[in-house]
Amino acid sequence: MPLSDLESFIDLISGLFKKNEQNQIDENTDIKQLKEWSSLQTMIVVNEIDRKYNVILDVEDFKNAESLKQLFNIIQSKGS
Amino acid sequence: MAYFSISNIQINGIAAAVPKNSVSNFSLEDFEKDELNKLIDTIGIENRRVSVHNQCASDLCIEAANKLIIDLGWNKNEIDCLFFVTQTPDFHLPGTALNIQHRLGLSKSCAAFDINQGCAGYVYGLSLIASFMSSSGLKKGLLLVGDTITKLVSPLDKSLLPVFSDCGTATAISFNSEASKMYFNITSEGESFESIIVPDSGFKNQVSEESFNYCEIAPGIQRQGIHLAMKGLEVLNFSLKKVAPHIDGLLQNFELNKNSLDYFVLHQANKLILESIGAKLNVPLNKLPSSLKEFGNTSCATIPLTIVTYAKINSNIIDSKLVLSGFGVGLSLGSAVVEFNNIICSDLIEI
Repeated sequence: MPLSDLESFIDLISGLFKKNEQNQIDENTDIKQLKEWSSLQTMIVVNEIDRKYNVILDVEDFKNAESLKQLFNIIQSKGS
Repeated sequence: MAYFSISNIQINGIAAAVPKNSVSNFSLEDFEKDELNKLIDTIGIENRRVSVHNQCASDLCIEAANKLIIDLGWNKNEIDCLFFVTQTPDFHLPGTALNIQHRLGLSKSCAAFDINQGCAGYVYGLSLIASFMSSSGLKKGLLLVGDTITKLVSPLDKSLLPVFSDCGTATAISFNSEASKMYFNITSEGESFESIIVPDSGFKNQVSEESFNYCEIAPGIQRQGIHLAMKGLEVLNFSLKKVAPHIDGLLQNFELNKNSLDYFVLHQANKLILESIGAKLNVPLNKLPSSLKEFGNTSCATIPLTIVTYAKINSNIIDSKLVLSGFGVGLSLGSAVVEFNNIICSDLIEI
């Protein structure tokens, strides 16, 4: 599946979080700072990104991304 | 790539033994209800079997072996070799396989070997016993594969406690000049040895007073140096990137048609990883048996345990062509294609 736009990406990621956290998520959100972030949530996010975009994120990618927009850019660069 | 095939060896039967002590993941403390439901839904593990204090992998494997020997009608004196795969031996020294030879009542002429392997251990062990028997002409052998890995998991580790479970298995192997070939792909990724490790478990970092200090790795994850440590994201990356190409490489190397294979019995790491690899292989769920729900991740025992439990649901598996693939600690990968010809799958033992 080709990498779609940033808005769709944010919808995809926010849908993986609890409803009360979804409202807080936008392109500037660092998902690592969310209350629900955990090893389980990392696994779910990585798997979903792999499934949708055929890109497997690693530890460095998460360290380097301080916002969802930055994570989106990393996925784009790895997917191209 | 270590691709190889082995002739003249067949699998006659498989048995598995689990501890009676069943622990429900729904009863885990320190989780909010929503969080726990999401966890169980994602990893697919509702119950786990946890060995009691001094119940070891050897005990479980011996029970499985005794049951299998009876079910097959084998004579113990005819068993020429045994291979014991575990990461939770009775002792560091001596090896456990020798004592198992004695405890099982096998002949002193039986050759006994220990193999230190985890998640890929069933395929590693199968490749070793099969090649040993094929080249030597020995007639009957036992592959015992099991772990009591729960003994290594920190009780304060929310990431690993809900996953791991204990089991011991026995697989009966014999020489048969008419057996179908077994095909293997065994590979090593030793640069990632720290991805899954018990840091203070040997002589590189000898156990000291500091080994018993709890360190907070992340919220909800506290471990001592003597506990199993896992870099979850690294292991997930490895599983998603490497396993499907490893299996496809095996099939391509030996020009085996994926559609001719009846089942893909993969290491039961967790449901998310299992089903993601299945999707990458384009394998439907009805060809991807799982024992996760009731038995969790039993380390090296997941593949034979899954075969034994699935055989009670769908007996077609006892007469089928299968891919077996284990992956994990090491890091290591082992994939195989084997053919079952009406093998015996003993009833599951609970002790």
